[in-house]
Amino acid sequence: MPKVKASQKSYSRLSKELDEIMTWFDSEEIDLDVALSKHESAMKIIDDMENYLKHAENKIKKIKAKLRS
Amino acid sequence: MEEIIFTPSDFVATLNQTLEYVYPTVIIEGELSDFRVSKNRWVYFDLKDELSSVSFFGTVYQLPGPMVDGLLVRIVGTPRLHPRFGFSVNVQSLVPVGEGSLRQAAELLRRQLEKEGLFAPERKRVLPPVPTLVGLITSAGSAAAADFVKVLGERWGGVEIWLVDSAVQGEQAPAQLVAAIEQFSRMAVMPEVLIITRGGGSAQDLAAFNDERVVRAVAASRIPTLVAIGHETDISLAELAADMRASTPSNAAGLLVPDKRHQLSQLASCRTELNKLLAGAYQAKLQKTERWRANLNQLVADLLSAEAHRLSTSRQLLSVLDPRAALKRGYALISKNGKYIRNVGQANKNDELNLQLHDGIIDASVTKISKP
Repeated sequence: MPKVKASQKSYSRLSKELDEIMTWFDSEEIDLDVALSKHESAMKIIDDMENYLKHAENKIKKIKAKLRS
Repeated sequence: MEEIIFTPSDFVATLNQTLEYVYPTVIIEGELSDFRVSKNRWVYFDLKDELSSVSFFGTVYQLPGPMVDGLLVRIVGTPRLHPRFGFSVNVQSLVPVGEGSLRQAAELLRRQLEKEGLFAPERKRVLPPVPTLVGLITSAGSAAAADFVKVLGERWGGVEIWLVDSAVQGEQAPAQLVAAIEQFSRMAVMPEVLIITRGGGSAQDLAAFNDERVVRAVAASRIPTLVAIGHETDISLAELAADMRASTPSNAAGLLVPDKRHQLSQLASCRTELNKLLAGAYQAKLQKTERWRANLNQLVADLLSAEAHRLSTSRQLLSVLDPRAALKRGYALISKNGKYIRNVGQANKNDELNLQLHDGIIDASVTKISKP
């Protein structure tokens, strides 16, 4: 099972980037060359987000309780 | 048997040694009576039943909240004979017991803390939408911990959970919960959100979450808090002080993270939407290009038409100016020796002239010249 690398962007960051691209597409004047590039980037972001959702696992770390006297 | 004669101090010391040996700690339940606070620090009160009354001494820091005479409470303490003030039990912990007393104590504390603004909506912080580091305070082996972790895993991944094991009921629970909350708040790298949770239980089991020390610690946490106590009938004061409350540990996990199945579905819709947007952008550009092409064609057609009109006009003008047109109307061009003459002064009697008509030339001789 592919693991999600620590160096990968966080899901929130990816989500924000995707939102920005979607907003850009809503603008009135769209340059077709830029649109093609943005579309390609968005598809890559969606791939990364789907990969994260399908493969990321939670980790539990027990912290030793420090009771103050 | 030898008579032992004590001095008062020896008697006090001997009795205290005996008490320490036989009853190092005692647990006493009774009705609170004559409750007094001195210098905002020391508390004095009695516990009584139908027949007896026992004096107690402690500090305000050991109280779970405001106290009032008539409450049924359970004290853990150390019996002592004070050299000057007589017998009392030094309080180690005090908790209200019985549903009525627990409710009454919680209500007293709720009113006090509400007055202080601890539960005010404007104090509530917004929890991060998708946390990646979560602090969890609960009993590590409990069903509540297992439920929280299980539901969190079903809904979302990539979350690191830092778990501090804490008693969530009983005498030790308030101190351990407070210590755990403060421990997280002191960390150099703090979790983005703190979950404090346990399953349901009796009013006595849940009493720690109505303890003033715990409630104040939740309110003072540097990390936004989500408190989930597994009961539905009453909301604990710790939940009121939290930035967000949940009804159960599973509900806490549900509120903490989105559902990845829903997110995957949204991403699929997003992909479709993006493809539509790109196709739309392409269509819009195509239509614009088509409009440009049509406009250019029209411009060229207009230019050609204008030029054709100009040529036609010129042609008509030229045809009017053509001298041959005048010859056709009966005029003649007169020349002498190859040069056109325009007035009678250019001709003399007997000159040979050529008269050019539209269909030929007449040679003529001047016989007479006259002027009008």
